Amino acid sequence: MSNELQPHFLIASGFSKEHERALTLYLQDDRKLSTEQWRLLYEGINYLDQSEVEITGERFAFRQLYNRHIDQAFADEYLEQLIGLIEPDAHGTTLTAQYARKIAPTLEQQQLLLRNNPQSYLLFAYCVYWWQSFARGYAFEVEIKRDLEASKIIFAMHDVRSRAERYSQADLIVLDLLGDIKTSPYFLQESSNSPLANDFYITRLYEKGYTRTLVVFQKPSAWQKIGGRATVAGKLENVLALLPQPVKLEQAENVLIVVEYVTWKSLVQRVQHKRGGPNA
Amino acid sequence: MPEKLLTEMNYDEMSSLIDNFIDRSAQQSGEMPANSFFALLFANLAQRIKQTFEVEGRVVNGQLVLVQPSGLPADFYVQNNQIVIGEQRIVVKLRA
Repeated sequence: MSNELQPHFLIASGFSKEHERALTLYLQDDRKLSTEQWRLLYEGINYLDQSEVEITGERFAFRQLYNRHIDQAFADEYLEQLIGLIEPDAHGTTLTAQYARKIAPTLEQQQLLLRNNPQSYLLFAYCVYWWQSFARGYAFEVEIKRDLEASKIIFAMHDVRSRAERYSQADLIVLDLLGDIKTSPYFLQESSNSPLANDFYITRLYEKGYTRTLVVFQKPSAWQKIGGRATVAGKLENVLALLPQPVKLEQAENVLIVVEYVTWKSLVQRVQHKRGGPNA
Repeated sequence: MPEKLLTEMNYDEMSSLIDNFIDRSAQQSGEMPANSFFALLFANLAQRIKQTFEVEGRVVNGQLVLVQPSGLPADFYVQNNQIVIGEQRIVVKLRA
């Protein structure tokens, strides 16, 4: 292949060595990342979003290449298989990895991952990052959907098999409240680009000394609507330790109420029961 | 701290790093520590939102009627199904 046909990688100028260090550490072991390194990771990924590859005079953003060669190639098939799994959250990770292993050969075939071009490694890492975020996020969402159904909670939810519905603002509606279900890294990456638009969010977190915990964090208006009452004031460092008490987190004028997922479900069930829902 | 950055690795080192990441993540669900999560979430909120107003609404005879909240700045107002912010107008339409 002659040099003029080699893709030319144009990494956004804001992407620094510190961003690359956070990305490398994330790939080595994400549990070693400090809060500042998580911030650098998200910022770095946003810079890679803006990065481009010039191929025979035409420029393509990393995001376009991901959409064309990874998302459009694998997402629908993955989601169909995921929905067919008995335990999507438990076995979805294996399925996610199966597809992630297809990324390198796909990029190599497109001349977008090249042994002699280390900048192409950044596109590969970017694609793996987004694939893992996407795939884990939907495995989590499908698991929550099944649990809500089993708990006889009335809700409306977008169809993850529909590409158009996947881009809807909210993943689900419960008691007229708009909600989102996302793994914590995926959620935070998304929230770095758009404000907190929905009423409540279901995610999963961990804290040293505690196993991972399913939580719902919500705006005070959503907390009131599900009949939530007294809260305890929490700090960023002790949120999970204070659960199962409802925890109020407040910074500047932003207030969020954090509860365990099971607490949130029981409050929703109680309101729906009063309204004559299926739990009545 | 990583000894080498991604682009300082040779192809086999980089490939091995990402393969191991994929293998490892097949055993994990990929959560974040709570303190980092909320610290960054509030930082994002502080950057983007200077002030929040909640607008409540009701459906009256099939039409959305939004209620003007108190404390809105002078160039914001809410009327029926419309929210006007300066020179911008948001029209909220209900779908069956």
